[in-house]
Amino acid sequence: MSQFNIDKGIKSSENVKGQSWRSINILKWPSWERWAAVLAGLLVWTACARLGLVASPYIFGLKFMNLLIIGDPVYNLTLLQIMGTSLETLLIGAGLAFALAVSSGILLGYFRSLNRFADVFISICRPIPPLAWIPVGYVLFAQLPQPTFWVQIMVVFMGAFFPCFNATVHTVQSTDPIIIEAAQTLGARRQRQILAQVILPSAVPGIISGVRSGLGVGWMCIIGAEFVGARMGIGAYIWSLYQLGGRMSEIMIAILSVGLIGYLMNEIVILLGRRIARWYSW
Amino acid sequence: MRLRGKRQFLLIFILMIFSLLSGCSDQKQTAQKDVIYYIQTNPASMLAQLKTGEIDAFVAWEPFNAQSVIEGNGRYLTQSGEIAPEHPCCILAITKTEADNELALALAWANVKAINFINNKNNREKVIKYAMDFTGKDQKSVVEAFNHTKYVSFPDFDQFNAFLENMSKNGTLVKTPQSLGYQDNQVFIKEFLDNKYVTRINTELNNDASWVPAAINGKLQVTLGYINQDLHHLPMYIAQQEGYYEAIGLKSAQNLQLKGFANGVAVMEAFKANELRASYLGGAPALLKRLNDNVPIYAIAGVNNEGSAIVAAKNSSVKSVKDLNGKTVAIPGLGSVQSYILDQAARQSNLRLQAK
Repeated sequence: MSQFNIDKGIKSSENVKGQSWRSINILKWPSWERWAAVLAGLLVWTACARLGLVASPYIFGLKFMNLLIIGDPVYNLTLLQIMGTSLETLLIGAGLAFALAVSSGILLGYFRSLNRFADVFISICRPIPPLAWIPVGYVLFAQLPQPTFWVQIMVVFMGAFFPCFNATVHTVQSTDPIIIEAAQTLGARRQRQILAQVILPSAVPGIISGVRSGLGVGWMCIIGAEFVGARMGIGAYIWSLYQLGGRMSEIMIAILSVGLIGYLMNEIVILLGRRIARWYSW
Repeated sequence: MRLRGKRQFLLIFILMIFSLLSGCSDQKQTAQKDVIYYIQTNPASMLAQLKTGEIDAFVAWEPFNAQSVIEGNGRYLTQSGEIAPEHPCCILAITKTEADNELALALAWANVKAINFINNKNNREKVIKYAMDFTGKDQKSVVEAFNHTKYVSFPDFDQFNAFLENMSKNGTLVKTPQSLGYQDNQVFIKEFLDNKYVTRINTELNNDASWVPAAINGKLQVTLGYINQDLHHLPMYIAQQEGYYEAIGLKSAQNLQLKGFANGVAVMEAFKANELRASYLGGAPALLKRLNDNVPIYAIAGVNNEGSAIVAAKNSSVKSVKDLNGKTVAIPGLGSVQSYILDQAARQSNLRLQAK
């Protein structure tokens, strides 16, 4: 049975190259259902705008282009520049988290006893919402020159670490025994060989999906963390807009851009994953 | 293989458009590098950050400016009065929801009495002591701060109009009085600044200095807001200490609750959430939220004019507002009187503000 499962995951080599680009959602011509959804959405939106509930799509689009090209008059920065600060924090925090999560995940996935030992700590820390670490961070980093920056890094780290860590541990633990046996049959004798040449490559797709969910959670956390005491970034911008008042469209634009950036990041990671693990059926 | 190249090209093309869109504005801003960077933080942290050199200057309300100068970390670069002469600062605002003429008259009376108390030279020592108690600062700082603050019982109409016009120009105000159904700015400001109480109180007090308005209904619960450690809001503290609130039937811990806030924007949030009946706050945030969010409040009395300043680090090379080009300045928050002052100062020197 498991023999068949593996076969399904492996594709013939001539398909692999083209496939890796062809099935990227963002580059595909949208299906007619998608067009219909967009049109229906616009219709409902326009209807609501007519009733005076929300700004009309035209004004919304105008404001969006304005924010993108000219920028916000109060911040004197464009939307992408504001977003850049948040992305920077996200990449630093999540980068650190992934480095630690993947390495420790492989260790704990491979050495079962180590896993049983650390399990208590991980099980307790994992369900803690990352934003709950904010006060702890401010106490810890109070002496540093820019405590807010480090608190944000820490919150993103906490958010990005566990999804990636869990995925790594799980994927290493669930390496198919058949491929390990096959490697042994083909002459792999040392544990090191098995780990480096069998388990690690087979774990790559799992790790990448861990990175995807880690980035997603980290991105959510940074917006929340910036509401508290941050001076820059898209979260702080949204909060400032709210405090200035009367800027509902801009707030919605900023929120939707957060969603859009999250979506793009997800697509980029999938894209990279396809390039790295071509054998896997994505 | 050909297909892959096309996809790749498309992706690169999309990325190029994105970077072009942001890149254009990037260049624009690096070309005209005449910007003052601002950060938002509370006045207490400004003092610490100026000391460590994290910021080059700050704009705050008294007595924080004076404290920084007296402690030897900062020096006055410009008083707010030099940037916008006689600009209104703090006001006493009240919610417009109910028929509360009695409450408005009573609170305005306590405010006028307290301001007269402050401006009476004979009370100088007592006032300084009250100020030290209220703000928690030492005598030197408080005395210095008093030199830069003018207590007045009502703000100037024209100056408020200038507020309105400049805040529309710099993009903080997105709504206009017209969009709320007012005929023009003048009509709006006449209604927003309601001087009938202060006018009446002044005539009554001129006839009889011991005049007290009718005590308000004892069952009425009043929550009165103010900003923590803001010397501008000293009239509130003095009215409480000198028994003016008791004279109009407001007893602390019974039907009067005093509530401190971090800044004017926080006060306006409380107004919006219906947690406040009346509050002392800056004119700029009051105007901002009155228009942008249509929070139904209006001013029944003034508190002070001027009383903010740009304070630069003592040993820095900054000699004028022009020298702040490319430097970082802290403000208490967007929409505050201090952010208005910094914006005006920047515009007068052909600079622009940019978030950092």
